[in-house]
Amino acid sequence: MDEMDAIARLKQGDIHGLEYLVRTYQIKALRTAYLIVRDYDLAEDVVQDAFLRAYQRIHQFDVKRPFGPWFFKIVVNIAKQAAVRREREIAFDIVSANEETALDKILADLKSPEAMVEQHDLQQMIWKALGKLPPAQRTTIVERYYLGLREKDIAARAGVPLGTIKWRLHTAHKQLCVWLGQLRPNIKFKQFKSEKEIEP
Amino acid sequence: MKDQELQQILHEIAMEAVPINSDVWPMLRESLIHQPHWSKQARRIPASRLGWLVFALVVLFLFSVTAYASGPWFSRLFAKDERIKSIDLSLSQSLNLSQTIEDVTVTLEWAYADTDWVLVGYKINNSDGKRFDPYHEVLTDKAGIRLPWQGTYGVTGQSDSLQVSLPVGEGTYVAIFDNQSTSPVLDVRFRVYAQELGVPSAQTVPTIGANTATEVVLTPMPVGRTIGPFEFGFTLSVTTSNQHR
Repeated sequence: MDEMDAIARLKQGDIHGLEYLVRTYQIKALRTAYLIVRDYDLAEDVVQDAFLRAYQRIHQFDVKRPFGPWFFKIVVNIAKQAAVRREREIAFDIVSANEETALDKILADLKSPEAMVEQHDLQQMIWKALGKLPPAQRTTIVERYYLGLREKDIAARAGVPLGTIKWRLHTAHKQLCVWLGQLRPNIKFKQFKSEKEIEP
Repeated sequence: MKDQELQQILHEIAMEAVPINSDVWPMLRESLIHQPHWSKQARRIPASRLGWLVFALVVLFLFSVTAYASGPWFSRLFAKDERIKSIDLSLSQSLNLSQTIEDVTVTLEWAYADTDWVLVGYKINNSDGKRFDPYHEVLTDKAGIRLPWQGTYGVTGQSDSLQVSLPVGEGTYVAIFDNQSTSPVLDVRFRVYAQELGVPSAQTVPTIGANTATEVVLTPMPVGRTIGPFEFGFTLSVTTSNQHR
């Protein structure tokens, strides 16, 4: 069975077609969702929901087009919604506990000398810094740098102007650089350039 | 840091968090087998929501003081309602959560959730026999987002047709909310106030003249105390075995 056979089967209601697509796309889908929602269990829920929606809407899918981009658009949308909801939950918990905000707490921890020593791993620092971005900006970063989408494709998928995506990437880059600079001040971080920006 | 470095780090993070042997198919297959044609959006008829904006049916009978119940009254009311008649109430989950404020007790008896609806069955009881009706029912999910309220069925007193009889001072209700979540488990918070309703006072005024009839003057039904909020948190499993819309 190949992808076209699988989609044809799925359009006829045969879930073996879906199984093929799940086996093919689930790992990348799980990883994409995880980077956006930052929780493995929630990422699993997102991906299951995405496959269910693909199953329900397969009649809308144009077989002349590749399945991957269509499916990952569903994954990203569901993940972004889940991330927004999750961060509201966290904010709600903190407010109800009447404690200092999560961001202040994280920053306080990160700025401490002990934390600096422990935070040598750039991967962890990027992860923490990404977690502080709003879901929309984080999603754009994941689409651009994990899924490898072009800015204009991200804009088209999201149904927003290209300038919005450029702005999101630019501000996300800038904010990441600021936070990374706080985390590891002895390293100079170059601000990322968007596709059409020219080095001075 | 260059773009490639960020790309590489994102891939490393994702690879570490999500092992290559991760598999969502078994759970997905299970849910598909149990609900092969589940499609919430497809079942939604836009016009149907208009009819749902305001329906609060309170069946009021003020005659009985003895209690008997030969079956859930709401299942008979639901049977007449095209939109929710296929709900299988045997799938509802027992709660039995109770809270008393002043002289009013609210008891959540059961709740039900499927991919379209969340129903909360509860009663309001006043030990002095005064009537309290629900006011401002709100159901929020864990994120604090309100599920849209679609209406409340309620019964007080006695009804032969519904085969229900409740003690004085007790009312039983089913609040209905639109489930907009896609989560298989709902962590929700239900909040309601109890508002005291007075019985219209009647004054008999003798008429003048030969006519022996009397004139009865009714004053508007007074609204008494508002007590609450009564708040309850509980978790519901969402059943996927119904298709309503």
